[in-house]
Amino acid sequence: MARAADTAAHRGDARASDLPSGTTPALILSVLADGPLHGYGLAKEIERRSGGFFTGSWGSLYPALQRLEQDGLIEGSWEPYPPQGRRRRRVYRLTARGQSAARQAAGRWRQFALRILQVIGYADDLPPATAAGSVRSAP
Amino acid sequence: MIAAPTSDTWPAPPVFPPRRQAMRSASLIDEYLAALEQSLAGQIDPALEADGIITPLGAVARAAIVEAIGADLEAAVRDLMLSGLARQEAEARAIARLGPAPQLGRDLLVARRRRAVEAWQRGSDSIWWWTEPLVPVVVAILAVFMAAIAPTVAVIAGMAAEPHLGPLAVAVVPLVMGLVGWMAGSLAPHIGEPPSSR
Repeated sequence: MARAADTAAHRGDARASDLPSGTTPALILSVLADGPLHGYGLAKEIERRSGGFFTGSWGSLYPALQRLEQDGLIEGSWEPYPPQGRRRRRVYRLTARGQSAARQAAGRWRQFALRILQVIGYADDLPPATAAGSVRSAP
Repeated sequence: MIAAPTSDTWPAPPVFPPRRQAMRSASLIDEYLAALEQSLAGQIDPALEADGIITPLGAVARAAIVEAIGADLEAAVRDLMLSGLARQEAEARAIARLGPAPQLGRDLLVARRRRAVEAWQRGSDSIWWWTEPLVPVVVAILAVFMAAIAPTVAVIAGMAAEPHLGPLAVAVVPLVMGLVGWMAGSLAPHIGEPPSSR
């Protein structure tokens, strides 16, 4: 079993507990909206907020962090005084543009997720106000 | 009188400052980071390709990537060890969650390349994208042509103005035109340049 998982990881196959492709930037922006974090801190916070569901690979975080930094949505800085013998962490925080992008991404993904749930027939599980409100505000 | 030092105490044995790498024994994390560094070494830096600069990914950029990921791996290992795992097992698990080093290296390079691809796509949106490199050539040709004919034009203008403005116009008009041309030439190269603080 473990061997199969290793093989899948080497092939780059996604597992259910991995971060879904395309969602990583939005998740990073949302988590960083609550304060600066380093890469591992981000992975832990995403895992915590997902109720322990996203426990898979967090290797996709680093390319996404690099992209967001290039786009000027986040900025990274090195930990000024790391404990002796430890490597310096790179801490990321949202820029002003990133804060606006985080709000937009949250709204977009909320609508997207609600529509998916409606399409696949799980909209009844949502609180009535949430589902109705989203339908009314739909374009 | 102070006695001369004996051969046992002099010269003093060399004392080297402690080095982090020298003090740490090779671990799975070090091996992983070495593999990651190796996957990045010698690769063209895609972030600079947008500006037409073809150069290997610099040692500083590689070291920064490896340092940041190494620090996060160490933090993950510490967490796993606090939950009761042995160091070897904790390191193996943390590395497994990060994925294979060559794959991560490729993904990081792809992320850097994306900006270059987007810059190229933006440039090729217009059907006139291919004229962009020709603009400086055309401007240079025009500048040389203008510089070549400017003295002749100035003298002709002075001769044309002479019946109306008097004999001095033959000298003053070319001088004024030369002054205006010089001012325009000194301003023109700075038009369209990005701010120097970029």
